[in-house]
Amino acid sequence: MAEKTYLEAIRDALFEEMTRDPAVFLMGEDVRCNFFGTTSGFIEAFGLERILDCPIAEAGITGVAAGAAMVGMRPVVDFTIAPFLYPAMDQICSIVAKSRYLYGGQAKVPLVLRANMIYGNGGAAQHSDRPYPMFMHMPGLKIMVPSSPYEAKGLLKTAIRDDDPVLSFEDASLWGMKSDIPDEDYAIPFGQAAICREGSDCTLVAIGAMVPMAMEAAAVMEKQGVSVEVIDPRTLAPLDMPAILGSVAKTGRLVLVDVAWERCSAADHIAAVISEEGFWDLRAPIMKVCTENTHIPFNTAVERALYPSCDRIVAAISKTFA
Amino acid sequence: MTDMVLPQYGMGMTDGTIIAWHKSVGDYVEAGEPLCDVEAAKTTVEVGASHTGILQQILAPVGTTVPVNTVIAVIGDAAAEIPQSPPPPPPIKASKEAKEPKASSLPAKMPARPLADHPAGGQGQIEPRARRAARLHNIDLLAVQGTGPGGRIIEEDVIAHARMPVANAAAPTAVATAALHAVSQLRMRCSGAPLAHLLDELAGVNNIHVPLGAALLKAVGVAVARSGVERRPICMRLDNGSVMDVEDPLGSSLLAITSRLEAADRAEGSTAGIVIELNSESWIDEVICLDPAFPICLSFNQASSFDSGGEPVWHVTLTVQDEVLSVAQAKQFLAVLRGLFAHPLAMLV
Repeated sequence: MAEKTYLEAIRDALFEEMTRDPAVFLMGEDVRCNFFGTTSGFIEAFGLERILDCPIAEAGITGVAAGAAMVGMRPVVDFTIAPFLYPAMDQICSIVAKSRYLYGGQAKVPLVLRANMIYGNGGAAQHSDRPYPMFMHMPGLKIMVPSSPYEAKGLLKTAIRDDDPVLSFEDASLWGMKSDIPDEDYAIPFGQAAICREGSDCTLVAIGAMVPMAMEAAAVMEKQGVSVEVIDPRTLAPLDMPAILGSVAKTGRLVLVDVAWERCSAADHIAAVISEEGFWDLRAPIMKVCTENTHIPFNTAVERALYPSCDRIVAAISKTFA
Repeated sequence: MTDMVLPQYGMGMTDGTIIAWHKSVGDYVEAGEPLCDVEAAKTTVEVGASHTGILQQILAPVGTTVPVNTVIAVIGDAAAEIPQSPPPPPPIKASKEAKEPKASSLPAKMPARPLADHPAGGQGQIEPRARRAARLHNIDLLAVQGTGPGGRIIEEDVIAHARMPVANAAAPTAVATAALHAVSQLRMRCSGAPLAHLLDELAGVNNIHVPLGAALLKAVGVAVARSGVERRPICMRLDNGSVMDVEDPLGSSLLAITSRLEAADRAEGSTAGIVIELNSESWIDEVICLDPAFPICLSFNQASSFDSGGEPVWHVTLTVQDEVLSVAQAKQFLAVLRGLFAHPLAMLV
C-alpha cells in the first residue's frame, strides 16, 4: 500500500500500462511538457516516439488516434480539458464510437480519451464544462468518472486494456486527493458500482467528485438519525443500474448528485430508469442535486453557487422525508 | 342537456340513497369527476359525472332513495350553453380566468384522487411502496390510516393494517378498493351499460361443469391464493334444489363442490361477484356458486349436456360485479375457460 494523489494514480496507471504493453502510447496537447503532472519521467522512460505532442487540432488528433487504434495500437489521448472534446465531436461520435459496428466487428477502436474537468476556479463559460452526459447519449462509447485515486488508477487500467473507446472524465477538484493504492497490479471492471457507505433510509448516488461530498452529507444526516447509502457508479456507460435499483428497493428514497448541468444529466437518466423499473419501491419523489442550467460565470462566488454542495445534498435528502 | 341516471353498479342493486353531492348547481363538472356519493347494498360508492358540462339540476337531494336508472341530475352541454367562450370556466372564477384561455381550459378543480384514496384527510397521498403492499395483501387503502408525512399512507401502515385481526373474515367487502371502483365506473360509463359484461361463444365440450370447474381453479383459485385468503370449496346446486351429480376428471376438487351443495345460497342477491350465464337450445337451470362466505360467486344456466345432435354452443355472459371482483380477474377467468374449451386436454394438467 502506498498513499498517492489522484494525479499520481493516473500517472502510475499510464506508466504501468505503457510498460506492460508496447502498443500503448500517449498523444495530445502538451503531454511532453507534463502540463498537469501526469507524465513525469515518461520521455526518459519511453522516448519521444511514444509521447507525441500534437498541434491544437482536436479533430485531427482524434482521427489519428482512431486510425492508430484500428491498426493495432492503443493510444491514450490527453485532451487537457473536457470542453476541448467539442472540436473533435464528429471524429468521436461518427468514427470512434461507430467504427466497430460499421465494420461488423472487423475493426476495433481501443482508444482512451482523457479529459479533465476543471471548474469552480473562475475558468468561465468555455473552460468549465462537465460534459459526460453528452457522451452517455452516444452508443459505442464507454465512460468513466473516477471519484478517488484508487478508482482513477483501477478504471484507467481497465480503459487502456478495453478494446472499445473509453472517455475518462477526471475531476480536477480531486487532483490533490490522496488514497491508499495497492502495490500490486489491479484493475476495476467497468459497470460495477461501488457502495461507498451502507445505509438503510436513503440512497445517494454521486458521480465523480460528488462522491466525497455525498459522504460528507451522509455523515451530516447520520447525526440527524438518517442512515444514507452512498453509491458511486464509477462508470456511466456501462451503468450499474442493478446496484442502484437494489439499493432503492432497500431504502425507498433516491437522491442523485451530478455536477453536470441538470437537463439530460446522468442524474436525469438514472431517475428515469428508477421511475420505470423501481417505482414501486419508492417512498418519496426522486431528488436531484445538479448544476443549474446556465452558463458558468467568471466570478467564482457566483460560479460555485451553481454547483452541488453538501448543504444542497442535505436539503434534498431531508426533502425525501417530508 | 343530458340526464344523468343513478347507475346500477351492483348485481343486486335496485335502488340507492344519495349521501352527498360534491357539486352544486352551476358548477362545472368533468366526465368522471366525483359528483355524488351513493349508498347501496351497504356500501357507499362515489359516482362520477356521466358527462362534462355545467350541473344544471339536482333531482335527487341528499337523503332521497331512488331506483336505479332514475334521473338524478341534469348536466348541461357546456359548449352549447356558452358558444363564445370555448372553455367553460367555473362561474365563480370566470372573470379572472377568462384572460388565460390555456389555464381556464382545465377544470377549476381537478378531481385527481385525494378524496377517493384517502378519506381521512391529510395529504391524501399514498407512497408507491404502500400501493404495492396493498396489492400484495389485498388491502383496501380506504381503510388504512396514514401515519407518514402529512398523513400520507406509508408501507408500514398497510402492513400494520394487514396484521390487524379481521372483524368479520367472511365480509366480502374487504376486497373492494377505491381504485377498482374508479376503473369500473369509467368502463361502465364508456360502455353505457349498467353492468360490465364480457361475452363469449364457446364450442366443443359437452359437459360444461368440467371446464368451468377447472377454470375456477386455475383463474379464480390462483387469484385467491395470491390474495392470502383461504381457498374455500366450490359449491353447486341445481335450480330445482336437487343435487347435480358431476362427472369429475379432476378428482376431489369437484367432489368437494357437490359435498357443499346444501350450504350454498343462490348467488343472486347474496355476495355474487361473477355471474356466468350459459345459454343453449335446451335448458336445465342450475346455479354454481362458491361458498357464500367467499367473495366470489358464480351462477349460470347450464344447457343440457344430453342435448341431441352436434356440438353444443355455449353463449357465455360473464357479469362482473365491481365491488367484489375486478374486471381483469373476470377476464382472466373467461380466458382460462375459453382456453379449456379450445384445448380440453389442458384440464387434465
